[in-house]
Amino acid sequence: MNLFPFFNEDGFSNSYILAAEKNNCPCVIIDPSDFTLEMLQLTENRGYRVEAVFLTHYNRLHVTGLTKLSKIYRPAVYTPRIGDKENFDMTEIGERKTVSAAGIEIRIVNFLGDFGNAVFYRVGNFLFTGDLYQAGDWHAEEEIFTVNHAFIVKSLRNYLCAGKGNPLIYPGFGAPTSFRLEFPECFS
Amino acid sequence: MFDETVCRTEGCANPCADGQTFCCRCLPENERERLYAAVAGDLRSSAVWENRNFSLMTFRNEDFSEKLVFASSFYGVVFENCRFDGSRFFACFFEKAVFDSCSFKETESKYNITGGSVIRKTSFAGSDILHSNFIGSEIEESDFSETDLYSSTFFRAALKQVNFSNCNLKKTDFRATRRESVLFRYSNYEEAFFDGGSAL
Repeated sequence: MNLFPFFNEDGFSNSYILAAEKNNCPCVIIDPSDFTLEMLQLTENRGYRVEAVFLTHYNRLHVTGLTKLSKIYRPAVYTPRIGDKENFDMTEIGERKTVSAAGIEIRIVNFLGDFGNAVFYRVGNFLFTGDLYQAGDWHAEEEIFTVNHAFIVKSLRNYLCAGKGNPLIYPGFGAPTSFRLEFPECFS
Repeated sequence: MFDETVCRTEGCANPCADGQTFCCRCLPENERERLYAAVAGDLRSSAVWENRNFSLMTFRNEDFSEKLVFASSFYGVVFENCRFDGSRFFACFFEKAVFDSCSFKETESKYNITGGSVIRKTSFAGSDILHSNFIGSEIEESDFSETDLYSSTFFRAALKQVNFSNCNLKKTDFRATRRESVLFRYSNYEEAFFDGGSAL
C-alpha cells in the first residue's frame, strides 16, 4: 500500500492519496480539501488515476478539491450522508461495511450508526479518522469534548483494543499517530 | 509501505528488517553486524530511500546527509553519531527509535511518527518539521532552534534542556509535557497549545 499525505493551506486540513502499487494504477483520495498542483504532479508522475473519493464527512473543508477532481478524473464519490446542496454525483455509504475501489478494500468504521454523518475508513494498517479524532484526543481533558466526541473516542479505543497490531491513525487535522502512542495502556 | 514481517522466533512479535525472517534482536550477533554494515553501505550510496524497513537496526558514525527518505519504517532503530543534514523525510515511522548525538540540521520533515522515541544531544536546528509526532518522546540536551514546528505534537513528551528558540510554534502541541530548562525565547509560543489552552 502506498500512502501520500498532503496538507492543504486553505482549510489547514489533511488529504490522503492511497494506491495499491508504486506506479501506474488507479488510486483513491480521502477528504480532498483541495486538489493542489503538488497532488496533480504526484498522480501524473506516478501514473495514478483517481478512481474514487471517500469523505469521512461532508464538510466544506474536505470537499473543495472535488470540483477540480471531477473535471480531471471524474471519480466516484462516497460519503456517509448526502445533504441537499451538493453539486456532485455522490454515493451514500449507507449500510455498507466495505467498499472496493482502485484494487483497495476500504472498511467502513461507523460508531454513530444511522444517526451520524461521519465515519472512519480502515485500509489495512491505516485508519483515517477525519475530524473525529486527532493525535492526543484520548488524553485530552474530557470537558472539552462534546458528549458525541467523548463517545467516539471511547468507541475508537475499544475498537482498537479489540484488534491486533499497531494501526496508524491519519486524522483530518494535525500529525499522524499510532494506536500504541495514543492508548499505551492497551499494550501494558 | 510499513508492510511488516513478524519475527519467526516463537513468542517474539518484533518486526523484521527488509528481507529478513528474524528480527534484529533475534539474529546472532555476527550476522546482525554483517547486516548493519551491508545496509549502511547500501544507504550511503542511495540518494532515495523509499518503502524500506529498517526495524530494530543500529547505525553508528554514519553520514546520511542529503537523502530523500519516504514511507520507510525505522521502528526501534538506534542512531548513534549519525548525520542526516539537509535530508528530507516524508511519511516515515520512527516509533521507539533512539537518536544519540545525531545531526538533523536543515532537514525537511512532514507527516512522520517519531513518538515514543529517545532523543539525546541531537540537533534539528534550522529545519521544517511539520505535522510530525513526538508523542511520549524523551528529549534531552537537544536543539530545535530556528525550526518550523507547525502542527507537530510533543504531547506527553519529557523535555529536558531543549532549545526551541526562534521557532514557529503555531499549533505545536505541548500539552501534558514535562519540561525542565526548556527555552522558547523569540518563538511564538502563545500560538502553541499548552495545558489549559493558555501560553506558558
